[in-house]
Amino acid sequence: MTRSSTLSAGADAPPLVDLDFHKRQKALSFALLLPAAFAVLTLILYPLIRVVEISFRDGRMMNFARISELPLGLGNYARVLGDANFWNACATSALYVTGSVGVGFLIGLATALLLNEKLPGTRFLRTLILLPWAVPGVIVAIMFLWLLDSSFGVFNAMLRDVGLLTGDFPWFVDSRSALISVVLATVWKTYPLITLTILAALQSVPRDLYEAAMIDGANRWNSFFDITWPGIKGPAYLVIMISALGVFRDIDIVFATTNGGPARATETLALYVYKEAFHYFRMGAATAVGTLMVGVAFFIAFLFAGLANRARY
Amino acid sequence: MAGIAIRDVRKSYGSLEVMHGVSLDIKDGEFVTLVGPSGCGKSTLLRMIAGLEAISGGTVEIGARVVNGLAPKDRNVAMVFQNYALYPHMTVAENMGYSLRLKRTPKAEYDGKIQRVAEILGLGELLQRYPGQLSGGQRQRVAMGRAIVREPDVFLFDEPLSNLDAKLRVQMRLEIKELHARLGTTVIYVTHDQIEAMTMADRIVVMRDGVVEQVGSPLELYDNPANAFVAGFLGSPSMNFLEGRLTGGADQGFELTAGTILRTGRQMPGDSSPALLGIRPESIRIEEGGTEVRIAAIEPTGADTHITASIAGQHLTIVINGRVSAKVGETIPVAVDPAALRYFAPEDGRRLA
Amino acid sequence: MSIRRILFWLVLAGFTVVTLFPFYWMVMTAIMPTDAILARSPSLLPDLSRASFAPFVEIFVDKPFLIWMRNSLIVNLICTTLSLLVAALAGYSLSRFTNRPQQALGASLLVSKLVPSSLILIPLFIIYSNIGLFNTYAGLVLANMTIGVPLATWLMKGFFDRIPRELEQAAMIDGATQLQALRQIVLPLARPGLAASTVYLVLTNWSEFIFARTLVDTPSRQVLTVGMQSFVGEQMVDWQLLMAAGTVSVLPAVILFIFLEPFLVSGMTKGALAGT
Ligand SMILES: Nc1ncnc2c1ncn2[C@@H]1O[C@H](COP(=O)(O)OP(=O)(O)OP(=O)(O)O)[C@@H](O)[C@H]1O
Ligand SMILES: [Mg+2]
Repeated sequence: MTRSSTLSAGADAPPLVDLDFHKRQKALSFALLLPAAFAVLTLILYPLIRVVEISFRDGRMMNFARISELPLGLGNYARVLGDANFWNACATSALYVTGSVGVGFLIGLATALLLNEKLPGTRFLRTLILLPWAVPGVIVAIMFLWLLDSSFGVFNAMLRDVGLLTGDFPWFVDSRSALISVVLATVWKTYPLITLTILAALQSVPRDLYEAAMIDGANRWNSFFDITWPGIKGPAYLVIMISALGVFRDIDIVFATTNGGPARATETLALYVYKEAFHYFRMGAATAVGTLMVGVAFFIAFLFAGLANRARY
Repeated sequence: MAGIAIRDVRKSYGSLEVMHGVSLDIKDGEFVTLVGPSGCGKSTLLRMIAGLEAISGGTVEIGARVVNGLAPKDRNVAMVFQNYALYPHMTVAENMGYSLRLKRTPKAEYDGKIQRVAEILGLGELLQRYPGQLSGGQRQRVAMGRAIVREPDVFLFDEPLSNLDAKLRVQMRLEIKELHARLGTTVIYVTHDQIEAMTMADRIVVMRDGVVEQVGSPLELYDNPANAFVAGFLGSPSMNFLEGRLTGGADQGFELTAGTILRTGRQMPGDSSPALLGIRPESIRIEEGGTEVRIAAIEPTGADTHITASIAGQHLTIVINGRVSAKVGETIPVAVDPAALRYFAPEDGRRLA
Repeated sequence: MSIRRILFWLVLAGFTVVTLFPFYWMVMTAIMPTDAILARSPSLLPDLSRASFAPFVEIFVDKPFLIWMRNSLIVNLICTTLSLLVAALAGYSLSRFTNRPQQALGASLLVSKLVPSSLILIPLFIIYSNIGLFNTYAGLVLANMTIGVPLATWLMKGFFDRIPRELEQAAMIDGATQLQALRQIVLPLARPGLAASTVYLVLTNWSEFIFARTLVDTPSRQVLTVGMQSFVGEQMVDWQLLMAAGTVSVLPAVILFIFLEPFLVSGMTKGALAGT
């Protein structure tokens, strides 16, 4: 770099130019990052490192301050991988995520396509349809506990009215229906974001493409698969990924509805981690599973980010 | 007011060098245009002068002061961006007055300056509007107004007219020229429209791939291009380049590849080495007894007629003042003014004669 | 309107009705007398003349609802303010510069989206026990920031990306310092982004449950979601009261959402989406 001073003698030189402007600019760009970097380092990255560390500490220690005194080893991973409940949680998570996101995606796609038809009142219906997104998971859980209540739930009342049910049915307690019920509540909260994303994508598909396709004699199916889907699949993959990661990570709804029951029928991996850690205080096992989960999440993200990227071209 | 001295300026992005040592002296009050194909580094050079881009090597002096390390605000330059970059949340008056406000100019002086500039540019009616409520041409004027209000040492323009329609462009071209005559401030003007470059500039700087190819007055460059690139870049339609070899001796011609000799009426130095012959379309005339060429297309533009002809498998564009009666497919005899011919080396385009 | 469009409209209206039904039934349960709702086959359109708003008063008397609300509000406001401040600065830096530190932070923020709250809780729990942040607002605020900062940073980056850099550059040529350009040109233009991020953050913090449930155990520090969940654990759930409480807890979120929605739809970008 060159010297950054003035040639003409100081009189008309502006002050404070002894430091190169572009260096100051760079320094400022780092300074702006500092608070966020500090937050991320102390609140996310350092804790994550601790997670990995704890997952390699063998044995139990009720005094958490001294957990790092335990010997290093692979014991937690061995224990967890040999635990039938872990594999059960894997299967439950897989069902829970694919069920919630799969159904959510279909409903989201359908509502987005309908909202995009510019029917009268859609501007208003759109706001209404998106509302569940704003409801806290715990409240969603409570709402569905009530709707699906065995004796007084309005859902069973309707079933009784049409003759599909006599007596009671405990949706969240019966092992055959518990997971479906949790999925239902999750879909209700999850699909609005999918609607929103796909709607935004639909609105950016150029109108004249449809006109051109119509002139070429395409029917509605053709124009959906040849024009609409290619136009929205990038954002669609992205929102599927984001929703899937969200459902995979969050435990609010499961926790507040079934807390994993009956007999672990709804115990997802995230809930398994929570219970290992805070019911049984097996921090080692919990962090081992958590570490594996982050790995899986990475894989999901990678897969769909790749798909979404490819869809752009 | 100030001249500008650019000494061996380089620019790298990471390990990639995009500007390879540019040197240039611009006199106080001069109007200089930077031209060159897309990606050649015109904007980069301009932005380094403005202080928006760090200079990786070399120095830039404005008014005999090295400004490499100075912030844009301390260089006393004004810039007009291609997309105008008007502040959308400020009115026209506020846009133009922003620099004055930053300098804490007293109210009376502030109002006076804005009024004066608004008058020069015919913006009086629009002062209270927001940029979103203006047409492209009006925005362009506000952007210029914002630059003028500052009373800078140097005006920097980065393709300021490229978003306007053709007619408005011609009008603004004249206005900018007039403004320069009136204010006498140094101007560096980036464009890739060679007509803009030719008509506005005191001097043109032709750039390619991060180096300066040639600097000179418009006619100097037009008449005496240093190489085939400059020759081809300036002028519209652009110069014809014919491949062939020089023929020494009595033939006084240029042998095209097929063995056809184009009579040039001028004996060339040297032997029969391969060369590129450059002929401007307007220096070709239809003349009895000239070389026969076959007409491939005729494009009347009204005042002129552009003829595309072929000779020995190569294309030749001819501009004839007025109209022609010949038809496509016919042959016509053409002759060239020997003084207008330029010869270039086929390997690197360097000027031979 | 063609038959097809009428059909479309009906299907859409059907979706809307089904989607809104849980809200409707929550409100009905709260305001109607118990005999109208807690029945074997309650009428879906109960006689509204019998509605009573007494349960909305009761929740404040019977339960420490006010305390939960206050706690939620305190944590929410502090966390939103801090996250927004941190995120606006970082988002700007990420949007305008792409040096190593920016790339590193961007990558870490993405990684943080992959980490379940129930996992990050474990080290936080251990650290908090060590340094006495357990049972404090500060601890809860910091924990919520692990979600808020990445979310808002990406959102803000997306909004800054849509403000042309030429505007700041023009300002700097006009005589502004970089900070002046940021304050006088960029921030006013980023206002919709700041508004959207604020609402986003408020909603997210309002929903947060698992941190509050685990990192706080004194009743006087409990937040709304945890309080609501504790209802469910009781032997005999008082559904009317619970639904009244539910209605009150959802209301602020719903009102805020109605403000946010236009920003969301018109301004949906990849950056904004990645923030969620
Ligand atoms: N931020 C950057 N990172 C890497 N390379 C860059 C960057 N900005 C510009 N370049 C490269 O520098 C070269 C010069 O770019 P510049 O914008 O100056 O071209 P230009 O002559 O103004 O072109 P145009 O006529 O298209 O505006 C180009 O090859 C460009 O790809
Ligand atoms: Mg350019």
